[in-house]
Amino acid sequence: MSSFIKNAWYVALWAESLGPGQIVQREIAGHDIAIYRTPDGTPAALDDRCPHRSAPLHMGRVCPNGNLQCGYHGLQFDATGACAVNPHGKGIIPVALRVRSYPVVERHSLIWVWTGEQTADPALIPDLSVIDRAAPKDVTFRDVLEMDANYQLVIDNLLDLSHVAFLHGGVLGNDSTVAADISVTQEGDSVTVSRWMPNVKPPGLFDMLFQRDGSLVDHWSAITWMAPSCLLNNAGVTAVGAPQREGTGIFGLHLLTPVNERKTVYHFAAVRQNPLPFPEDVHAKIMEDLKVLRRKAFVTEDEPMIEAQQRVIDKVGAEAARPVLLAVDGGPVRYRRVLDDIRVRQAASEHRHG
Amino acid sequence: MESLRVRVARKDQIALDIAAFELVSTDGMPLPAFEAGSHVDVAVPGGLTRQYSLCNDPGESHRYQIAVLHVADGRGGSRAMHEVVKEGDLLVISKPRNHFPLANAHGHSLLLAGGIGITPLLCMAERLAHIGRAFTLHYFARSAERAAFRDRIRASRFSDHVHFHFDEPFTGKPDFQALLAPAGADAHLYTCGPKGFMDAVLACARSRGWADDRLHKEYFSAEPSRIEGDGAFEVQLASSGRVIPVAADQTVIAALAAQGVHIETSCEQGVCGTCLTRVLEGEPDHRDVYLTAAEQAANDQFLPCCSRAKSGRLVLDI
Repeated sequence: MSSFIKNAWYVALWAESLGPGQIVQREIAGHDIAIYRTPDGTPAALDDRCPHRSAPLHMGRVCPNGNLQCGYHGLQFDATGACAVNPHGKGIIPVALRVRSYPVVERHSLIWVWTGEQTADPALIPDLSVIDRAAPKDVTFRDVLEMDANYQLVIDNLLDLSHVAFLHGGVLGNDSTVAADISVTQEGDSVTVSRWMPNVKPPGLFDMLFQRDGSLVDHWSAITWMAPSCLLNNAGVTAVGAPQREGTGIFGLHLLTPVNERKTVYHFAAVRQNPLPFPEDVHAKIMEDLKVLRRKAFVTEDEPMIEAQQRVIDKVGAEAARPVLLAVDGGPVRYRRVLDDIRVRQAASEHRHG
Repeated sequence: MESLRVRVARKDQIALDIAAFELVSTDGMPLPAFEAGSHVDVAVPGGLTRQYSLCNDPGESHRYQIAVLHVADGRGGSRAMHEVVKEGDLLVISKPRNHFPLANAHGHSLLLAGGIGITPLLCMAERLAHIGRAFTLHYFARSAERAAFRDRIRASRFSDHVHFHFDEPFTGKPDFQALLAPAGADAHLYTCGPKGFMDAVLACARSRGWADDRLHKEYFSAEPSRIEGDGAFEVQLASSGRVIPVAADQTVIAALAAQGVHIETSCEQGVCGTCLTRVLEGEPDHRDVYLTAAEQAANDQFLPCCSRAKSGRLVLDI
């Protein structure tokens, strides 16, 4: 059985990466999808296979009338997936000449695609409005990477941040992250793991955002998983004993899209919360460093570990399915239970309707 | 916790592996008053919270003094106090709380300190000397170099009432009988120190007929935070009707295993859910993070590796 939640919104790509006239191919939860914008800018998503000879539609072009034209024999499809123009013979369009279209929404500077059969409700898109409210200068580069691993291993990584002390050498977290007590809270289909670390040495990245002298701080981190695979980390530091609102930090967006059972696309960006009034050049340098440090940590530290972990799991099989868990695993266990529950709910609903 | 911000005005190495910290208010205002035997929670660098007894004269309002033993193999609370905290640093602490007060009694007070357990007892000695009540303080340490506050005690007005014992006391050799023998029937005993030391002191007193209301104790464990006392209860196996007692310091899993009943476990700390067991009667005291709040509230299942009972008995579906 697939590990994907079928009826869900997934991030396809950053909205800014989908220019006019472009057709972008994405595999999302096993579906090959061609994504493009109609001339008025509205995003559309069709199955990436022409029903005629199975040519991938992303190798075609967007017509001035907004149809997607297959690059092989010139059939045109509208945004609903119906064939609109058949340039051959008498131009007859059989009913079977149509492709599946996917519900698609542009929100929070991302293009979201719904892969399920049930009605797509845009209200179910995870709330990432922090990125809409921030000034452009307070949002880092909108980045993306790929991991050859199941998306749940990446969620496990993000929902237990105790690994930062070991894997990321003190930049994103340190001993205090490991020692801190965690609390796990669940609200509907989202799970939050919080750590409150009073009077600790600031991890390198947070010292850079704050006093910049390594002096002790109160440090917080609360990472929320929103089903099926988006995470938002609220992390920051404040002066020892001072209220959180007087501190500074980031919202880290970690948006995972399962490609297939062994590949995950990972969109990420950081949004500054309550940035201190540093001079413009210092602020710009901080944003650049944030981009570079985070990318380095994710690509050169998380990615090799998670991919290697996936290879071990594939090799040993069942034994790895029963990990011996630690106190820090409360969050990962809880989100997997929620995912299981969603799978059961969706299967039951399909059974009723089907 | 209701918290205070304090500044570390002084940090002194006062004995081998023991550092004393003088904490003062950040705004020059007097600190909240405290009684002898009180402790404060300290938010230690590294995210841990640790309790430390106040050891200065309870008449003072300009400072709190604590002393911390460096525990090399602990979770890092004492290490952080020793290695990270320095003079001038700010710390967040709770207001003083007292679980170890002096009894309102007029008889002789016998204070028995083991190692770093001197801290609350030194504070009591200050107070008893101040109000002119009779007391004797016996201070056991492995060696003189490990005994904190030697100079302060020798220079104090009550130095005549203090006896040092530097003779590897934790091997069970000290003759508590001889120390307790002269005490009158109205004497009260106060003890603080390592668990083995205190257990020996209290066993000796009880064997001499001291009633519990004359025995005052403060267990400290330098590292794990104070745990409110867990109680004993019993579990019944629905399949056979057998009743198995669970001692206060025992998990349900351990109690069952001791009787030959084995439940599969993995994480042993309420995370993985492997040992999930149905509860047919009784109210569990949930200590896990596996079950959701709603599942815990239903009280029809629990994790016997860590959870306990609010009712006297749980009937388990095994």
